[in-house]
Amino acid sequence: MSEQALHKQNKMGRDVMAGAIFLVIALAFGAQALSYDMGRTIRMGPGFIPLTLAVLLGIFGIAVAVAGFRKHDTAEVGPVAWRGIFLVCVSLVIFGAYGRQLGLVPVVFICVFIVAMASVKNTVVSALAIAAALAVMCWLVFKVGLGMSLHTIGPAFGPFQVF
Amino acid sequence: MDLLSNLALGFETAFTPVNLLWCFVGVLLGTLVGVLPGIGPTATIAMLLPITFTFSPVTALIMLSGIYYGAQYGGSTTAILINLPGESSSAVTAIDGYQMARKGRAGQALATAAIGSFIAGSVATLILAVAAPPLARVALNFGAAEYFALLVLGLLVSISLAHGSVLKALAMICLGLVLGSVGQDVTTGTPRFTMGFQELYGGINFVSLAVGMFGVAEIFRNLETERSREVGVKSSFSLWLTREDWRRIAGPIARGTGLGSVLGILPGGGHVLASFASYSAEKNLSKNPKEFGQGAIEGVAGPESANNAAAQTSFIPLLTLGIPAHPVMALIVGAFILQGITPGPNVINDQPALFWGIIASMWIGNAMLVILNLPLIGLWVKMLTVPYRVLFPAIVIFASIGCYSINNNPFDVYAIAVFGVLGYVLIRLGCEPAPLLLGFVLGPLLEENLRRAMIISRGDPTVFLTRPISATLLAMGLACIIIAVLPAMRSKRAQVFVEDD
Repeated sequence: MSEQALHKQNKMGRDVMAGAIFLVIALAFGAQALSYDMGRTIRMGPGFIPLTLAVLLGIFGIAVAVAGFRKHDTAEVGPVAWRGIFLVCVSLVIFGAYGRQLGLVPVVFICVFIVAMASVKNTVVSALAIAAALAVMCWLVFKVGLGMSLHTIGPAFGPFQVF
Repeated sequence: MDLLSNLALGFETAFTPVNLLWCFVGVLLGTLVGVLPGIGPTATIAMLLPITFTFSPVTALIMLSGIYYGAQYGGSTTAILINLPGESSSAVTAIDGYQMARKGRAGQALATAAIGSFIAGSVATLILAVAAPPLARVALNFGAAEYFALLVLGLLVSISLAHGSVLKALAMICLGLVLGSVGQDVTTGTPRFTMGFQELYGGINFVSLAVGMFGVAEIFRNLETERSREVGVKSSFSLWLTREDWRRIAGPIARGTGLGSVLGILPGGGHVLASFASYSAEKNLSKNPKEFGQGAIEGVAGPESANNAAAQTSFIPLLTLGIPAHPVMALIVGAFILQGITPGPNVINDQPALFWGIIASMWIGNAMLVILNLPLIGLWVKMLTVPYRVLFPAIVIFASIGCYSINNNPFDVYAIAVFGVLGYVLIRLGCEPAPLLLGFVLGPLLEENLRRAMIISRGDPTVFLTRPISATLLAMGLACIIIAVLPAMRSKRAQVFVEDD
C-alpha cells in the first residue's frame, strides 16, 4: 500500500484491516492446528486448544471487520516511518546474524549507526558520534560490568580479536 | 506476632548491601524511564530481565519491582513540569499539576506528589503484607477448575479496563493466547507451530515479544513525526509546603490511598483507573470544584497517592495467586520463572525470605525515592533535554543485547523485529498491545489448568459451572464484559484512558 493511500485511510478502513489481519493469522494457525491430535474432552490432545483459540480469533476478527464496515468516522493517520522501520529491522538482523563473529564493540557501533540514521534529525557525523559513545557505554556496562559472553572484538577480526 | 517476625525477616533480607544497591539502581532507573517519554517500565523491565540472570532471585525481583514503582514517581514529574505524562497513570496528575507549575507552584506540586506517593506506597505495602498470607492460604485450596476460572476472569477484566474497542481487545487476547501455544506441548511433547525451527521448541521468547511490542513499536510510532520537546520550567524552585497546603492534601492522600489499594488488586490497569477515580472523588467532595483544572493541590495529591497505592497492591494477585494484573506484572512473572520459581501461593511458604524481602524492599525503595528525587528534580529536568534521536538508538541496542544474552540465540533478536513490526501495525490499526502480552503469558497456564480440570472431571465441561468458586469467578468475568460494552461506560472510558504505556 502506498504512503498516500494509508494517509487517507479512515477509521472504517482501519477496523476492516485489523479484522483481516486477525482472520489471516487465525486461518494460518487453525490450518496448522488441524494436523495435531485433538484428543477427547477427558484427555485433550495438543491440537484441541490451539484450534479452539484460532476459531475464536477468527470470529473476533470477523466481528471487528463487520463493526468497521458499519462505522463511518474518519480518523486521519500520520505517515508511516518506512525508513525507520527498515533501518531498525536491518540493524536487528545484523546484530542477530553477525554479533558473534563481530564481537560486542563492532556490532554495537555498526548497529547503532544504522539505527541512528533512521532519524531525519541525525547527520552521518552525529550518527557516528552516537555510535561511538554507545559502543563505549555498552562495553563498560555489559562486558566490564556484567561480564557477558560476547567477545569484545570478535573472531571476524582475526589476530585483533579481544576476548 | 507473626507479621512482625515475617517483616523482620524481610528487612534482614532487603538490608544487605547488595540488595540495597540494586534496589537503589532499580528505583533510579525506574524514575529515569518514568521521566523519559517514549520508554516505559514495560520495555525497560523486559530489556533488563536478562541482566538479572546472574543475580539471586531476591535481588533480581527487588530491582525489577523498584523499576516499576520508581516509574510511577518519574511519570508524575514530567506530567507536572511539561504537561507530558511519562506514564499513563500520571495523565490525571498532569491536569492540575501542570496548572500549578504554570502558576509558579511547580515545587509544591512535586513535593505533594512525592509525599502523597510515599504515604500511599507505605500504607499499601502494609496492606500487601497483611492481606497476602491469608489470600495465599485460600488460593492453596484452589483446584484446576478454580484456577482456570480465575485466569479467564483476569483476562476479561483486563479488557473491560483497556481502552478502545472491546472486540479488538478480545481479538488481541486470543492472538496472545495463540502465540503462547507455540512450542512443545507440555503433556505430549508434540512441537506446535514451530515451522521446523528447532529454536521455537521452547516457545516464542517472551522478552523479545515484550520488547518488540512495547519498545520497538513505540519507536516506530515516534519516528512518524519527530518533534522536539521544550522544557519551559526553571530547575530551581521552592519545595516547601505551607501549613494550608498540608491541611488540604491530608484528606485526598488518605482517600487516594484507600481507593488505590482496592482498585490496584483488580487485574487490567487498576492504577490508571485508581488515579482517575480519586480525581473525580476529590472533585465531587471539594467545596470549590471549579478550582479543579486550574491548579488545585488536591487534584495532585489524590491521584498520585491512588496510583502509587495501586502500584503496590497490584503485587497481591501476583504474589498470592501467581496471576499478573498487568503487563509489568506479567514480566515479573517471567522473572520468577527465569529464576526457577513458580509464582503463586507456594512462594510465601517455600521462599519466605524472598517474599518478605520484596515487600520490605518496597518500603526502602519508596523512602529512597523521596529522599533522592526531590533534590534530584533538577537533574531529571535536564534528562528531558536529551534528544530523542540519541535515545532511540540506545533503546534498540540495549534491547538487542538484552534479548541476545538470554540464550545467545540470534532467533530472539530477529523476533524483536517481527513483533516490533506486528505491534506497530496493530497499534496503528487501533489495537492495544497490553491484552496480547497478558494472553501470551497466561496462555500456557490457562491451557494446563483447563486440561487438568477436564481430566479430573472425567471430561465433563460443566465442572466450571458446578463448582461454586469457579462459577462465581466466571460470572464476574461476564459481568465485566457486559459493563464494558454498556454505552455509558464506553464514553467514560474514552476520556479516561488517553494514553497507555
